[in-house]
Amino acid sequence: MTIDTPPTLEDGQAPPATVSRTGSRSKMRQFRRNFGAMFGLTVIVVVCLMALFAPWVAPYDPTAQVLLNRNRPPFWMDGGTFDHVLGTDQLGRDLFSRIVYGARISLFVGIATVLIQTSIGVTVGLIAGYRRGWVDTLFMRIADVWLAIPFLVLAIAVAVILGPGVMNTVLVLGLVGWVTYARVVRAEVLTVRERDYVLAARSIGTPALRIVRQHIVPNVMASVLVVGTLQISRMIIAEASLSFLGLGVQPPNPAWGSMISEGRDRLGQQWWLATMPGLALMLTTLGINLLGDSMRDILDPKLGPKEGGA
Amino acid sequence: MASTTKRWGRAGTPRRGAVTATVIAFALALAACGGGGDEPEADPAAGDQPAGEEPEDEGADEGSGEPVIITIAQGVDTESGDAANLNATPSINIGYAIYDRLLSRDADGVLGPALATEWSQVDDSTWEFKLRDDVLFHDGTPLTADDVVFTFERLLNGEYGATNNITPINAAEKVDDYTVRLTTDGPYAPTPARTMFASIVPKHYVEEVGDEEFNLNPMGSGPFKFVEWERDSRFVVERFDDYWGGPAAADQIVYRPISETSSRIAALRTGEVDIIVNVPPDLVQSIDDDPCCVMKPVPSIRTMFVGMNTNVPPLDNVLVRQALNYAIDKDLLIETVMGGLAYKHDGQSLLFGPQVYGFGAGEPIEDYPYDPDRARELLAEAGYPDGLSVEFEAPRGRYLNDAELSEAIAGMLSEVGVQTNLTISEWGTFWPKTVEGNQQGLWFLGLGNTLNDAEYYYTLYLSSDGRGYYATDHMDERIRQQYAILDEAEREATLHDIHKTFVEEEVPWIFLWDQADLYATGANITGWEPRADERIDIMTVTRSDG
Repeated sequence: MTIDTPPTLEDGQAPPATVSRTGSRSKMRQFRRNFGAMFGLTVIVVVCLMALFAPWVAPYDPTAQVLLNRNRPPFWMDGGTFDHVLGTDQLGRDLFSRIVYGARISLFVGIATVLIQTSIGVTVGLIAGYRRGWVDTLFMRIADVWLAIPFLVLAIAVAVILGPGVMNTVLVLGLVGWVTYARVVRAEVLTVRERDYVLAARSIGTPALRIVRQHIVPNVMASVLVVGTLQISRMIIAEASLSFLGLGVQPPNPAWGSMISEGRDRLGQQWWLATMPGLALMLTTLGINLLGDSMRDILDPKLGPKEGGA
Repeated sequence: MASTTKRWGRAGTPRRGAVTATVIAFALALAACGGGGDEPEADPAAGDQPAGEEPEDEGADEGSGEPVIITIAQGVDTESGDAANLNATPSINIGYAIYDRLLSRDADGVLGPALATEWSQVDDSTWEFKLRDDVLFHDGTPLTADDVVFTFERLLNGEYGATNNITPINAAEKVDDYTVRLTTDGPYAPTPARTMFASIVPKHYVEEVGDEEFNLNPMGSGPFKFVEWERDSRFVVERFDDYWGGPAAADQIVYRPISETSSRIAALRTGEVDIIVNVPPDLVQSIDDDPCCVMKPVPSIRTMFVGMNTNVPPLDNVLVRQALNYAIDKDLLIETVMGGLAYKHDGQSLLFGPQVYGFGAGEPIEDYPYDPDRARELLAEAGYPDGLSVEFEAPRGRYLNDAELSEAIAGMLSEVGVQTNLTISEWGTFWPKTVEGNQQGLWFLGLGNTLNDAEYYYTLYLSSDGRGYYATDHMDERIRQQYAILDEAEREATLHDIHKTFVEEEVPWIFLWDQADLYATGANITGWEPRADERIDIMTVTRSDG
């Protein structure tokens, strides 16, 4: 059930600590034995390969229209052929090719937004957690206000202002979603900064920037990694939602969200038009979430190996 | 309706996010398949279910059983409640319920009396209208010449959506309580038809409450009175029993904007709405086969085209505009995306259909057959041998298959090297931008024609009195000159000549076709037939018991 919960970690239960070298081998074994993790990894590898090698994987140009060949069903249905494995859409474009290319957009948006969010969020979290005082209060109150507005509503508002398009979508989601990181990182920093080695470093006059870089950042990266992974799937869905609403990626670019949107008028007849990209979206995000969950379980010593798993 | 909602809710609640899209997909499929079977005959109460409240006092008093509430689903909401701002056909349709005009047009397009019983030309540029003396506004105040004069002056002196539509009428004058004179800038033959754009508003009420309040609480003298308007949700009117033309058949009409085709059809199948517009050609057969509903197709007066902003490069170059026309395979689009339900008039007209005055009255007009090579040549000649890129905006849900067509057109343009930056917007975003002349490249539009006269297109979209995408002095002059021609045959020939010049030399649009309007109604709806001019006439519509 952790699949869809937004990955906000409470201040108290943040997964602490660096991964110790001695434990890494057993962690790997644990990882390999975890079905969810392996399944997630497989799905992600497949989707990534699909996206990377889209021009070779996809049999057709995803935007090439053949109007005389519209609305063909998938190969296993009457009238379907292996020429178009998943059939064709309302303009005669090959659905499989569009889904393959759609993976590019989804992954690109997912990863790029998370990078933007991480850079903003981690910076804010580090400053707030390390400096404390009014800086902390200021940033965290901003974060509270930010969190009070539903994510998608905020994203829609910004998308309306910036206008549609792939780059704008990345920008919108990147700007809107930094709060989660800021809070997680701040919570981590608060505990780490009181550790003896940090206190020791400070007492011998090490500059703040260096303390943060050498002693604090390595300690918070584990949680950032977990949150980031889970956040990728959330961002992929957010992009699909925006595209579904016509505010994200614009046609003829084959984004999964806009494909679902275009197919929804025809669910009674050509159900595959919306269902196939929907399945692709579901599998991808499921894979990422399973992987992220198992990573959290494995990286978090508080959870025993048996308790974890999806 | 209720069952559909529940099904959605149940399926949608447990897992948000990842699966939502797919779940919605399946839920919709379920709704679409299950709905019709569940409840083929709409329950009379179903119509007011979404309303929740709204007791209809008068209807209930008469005590003749359930009030008849007819729900009409158009693709988009009205832009305003104020008669002076009704511009798009779905809005004008709502206007027909609340307001009257001096004249009216029957289903065959013939002008006849309405508020005015007689009209005649006094001199070259003056027309006189005799009014009925038994017309009441919804608050019981009689309608007189003062209200008519007020309506025209308000339009002429203000900046309203319909202001452009009544040019070149320039003044209204009261002769006596029931006689009005309209004057025009010089002789203007289609003056009576132009008055169709002026819905008569009550002077005393508008002056008392002001424009803003009038927009939200409109009042007129039409067959139905305003009840409530929830923006983007529903616009409710109820029967006005003292209507001069006799009371309408239904007690209440609810207009609902439903831009999703699938939702509109599902709503019809479940009996939630009674009349829907724009059934996609691909679904006509399945609705015909379903006992819940009846298809009501009709050839439309609406002409579809892709407008171009000819003020800015690259569309200021006529060679480019011609190239774009050669790049579109209209026959293929009609055969496939439109399912054969669109009409071209090669050789006779590229701008409008035979219902419009000025159609085919002269030498054949050269059309633009599909010829991608010619398109590439013209682009090269125009200085774009490597193609070009241009903005393209289109609405979703307003016209038959609008988004799909725009994508297909964008695809055909890219074949000849014209890359479009396609944006598909909601009507509420698209339309104001288009009306205000802010489209920078291509824009997809369908134009109805309340005037039934070719002059309407020329003035509103192809002259400096219009939206501003195309305007040249030489064409302006010719358009203005034909106003003055009072001889019908001569004027018709002139309209055709202008048409020919526009198509062959000026090329302000990518010319497409006239569409068919595909309405569907519930099986128990009687007294309603679709019209070519897209007016949804609600005087006689009702529900048969069964």
